[in-house]
Amino acid sequence: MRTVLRLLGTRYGIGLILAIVILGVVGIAKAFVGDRTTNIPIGPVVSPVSTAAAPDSSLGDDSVDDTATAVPGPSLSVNAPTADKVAARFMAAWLKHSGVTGEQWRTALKPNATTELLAKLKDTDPASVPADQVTGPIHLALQGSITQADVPVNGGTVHLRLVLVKGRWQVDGIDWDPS
Amino acid sequence: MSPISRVRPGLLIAIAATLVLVCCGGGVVAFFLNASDDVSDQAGGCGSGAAINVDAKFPNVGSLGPDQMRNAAIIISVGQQLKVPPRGWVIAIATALQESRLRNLPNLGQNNDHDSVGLFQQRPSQGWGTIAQIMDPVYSSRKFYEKMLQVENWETRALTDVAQAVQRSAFPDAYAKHELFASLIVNTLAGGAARAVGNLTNLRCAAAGEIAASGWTVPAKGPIVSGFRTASRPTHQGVDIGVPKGTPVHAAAAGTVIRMRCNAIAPNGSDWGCDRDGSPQVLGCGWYVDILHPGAYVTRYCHMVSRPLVNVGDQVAPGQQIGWSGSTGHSSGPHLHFETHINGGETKDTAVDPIRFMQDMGAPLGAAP
Repeated sequence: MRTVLRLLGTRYGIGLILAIVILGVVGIAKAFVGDRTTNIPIGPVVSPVSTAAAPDSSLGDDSVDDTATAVPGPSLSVNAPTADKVAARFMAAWLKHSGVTGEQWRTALKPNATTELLAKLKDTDPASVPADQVTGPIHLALQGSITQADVPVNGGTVHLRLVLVKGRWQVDGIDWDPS
Repeated sequence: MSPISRVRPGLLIAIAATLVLVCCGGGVVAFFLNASDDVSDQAGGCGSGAAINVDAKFPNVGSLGPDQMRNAAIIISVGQQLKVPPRGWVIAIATALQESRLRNLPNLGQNNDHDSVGLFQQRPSQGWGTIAQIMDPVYSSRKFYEKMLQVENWETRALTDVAQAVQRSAFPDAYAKHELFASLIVNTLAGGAARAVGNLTNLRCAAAGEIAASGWTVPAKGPIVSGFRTASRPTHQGVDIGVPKGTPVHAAAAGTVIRMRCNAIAPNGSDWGCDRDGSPQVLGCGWYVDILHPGAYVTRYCHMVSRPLVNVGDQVAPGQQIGWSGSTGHSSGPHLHFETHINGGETKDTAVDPIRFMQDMGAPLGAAP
């Protein structure tokens, strides 16, 4: 025992003691820091994410699998006009806004618009249509089973959303980006 | 420490430095990185009851300048005075972003819609007030709110539908795209108020099942039983929310249903169908729905127990029920597999961590059922 104490009194002994003390301090500090990161809610409280093996952890990717079956595309009725034709017809009616009443304007839109869209336009004054003519080709993009049509007009771009209703494309949404 | 450091200061420093570098340097760095991530997500909380001072100096958001930020602050201030809950502030600012980019526009003649003026492009000829009145942002904001409060169910409908009911524009869907930016403005000016419950005037953070002022909500209340791209499931492109079969599944925000179908393929490649539970041997998402949100975000909801309640092309409101959870497709038991995508995508290249994503939207996942 005396030998051990004497050895601890040497500079190597003090070094050993210091090392043990520092390891202890750092260990406690790390534990404390670890607690801080998990226990102090800064904003909305979010439950910790479980990264432990879940019952279905062997599942891997349980998202959509398109490898074995073809994705059923939108089914357009035979003889029904294509999306770009519907978009062009709708735009011609939408832009024709001077010298018409609201009723006349909506009647012209009706053949190429969904009932939902017409309902949203029920109180619209056609005088507030912000453009007069199409100024370039219509660009179409398929998004899932709906179609987006970008139509350049004087003053900006109109973005139409077309959906298939009973096998026919109809305009269901109008977005406007002034240039 | 002081007696020890008096004995051997040099030795202490050397040992301490060595130990810190050798044993926990990585940990210290990791801690600070994680901490900064957390704070950037949630700094500012969920608003407070404090009235906004419109004469304060505000940080600019995005490309907006001081005048535009001040106009946004006035819109919030008028909303506070009228006791409009924070969802209304987001709707009003999104509307003004579309109509004027938050600029108090005078009559621009040929370049303006008809006789519209001001932040909300209100029309003297349609009874909104005189030009002088409408050019006062306090007046025009109050007129907007007064009409908005008369819109039926304005707190729970899609932002663009509420804005259109007030504005009666020729472009009913144009307001939707400003919802996130308007939320960011409200968060910046009003201490995170777009993360608060949307329809309460006493601001507090939205809990699971409540719709935040941003218009986002959790799709189902339940614990996360499997995370996004974990070590054991590196190809898991979403999170699994543990809920019993038949739990209502809600649209996380307003948007357009762009896909709805059964996706379940038997091990031999034939169609397994979704009129029965799947299994780990079956491939696919089961009954699922993809919703396209403003900002080209897509949310995906998989393994529903029966044909979803919505069809392709449907417009859904925030929190609208779209079906019931189940275990169809590639699934070992009832849960909701939920994905969040950017850039309008649906693949592994566009998938982002739903935990992080929903937290940013003010609707954190993972609350207990």
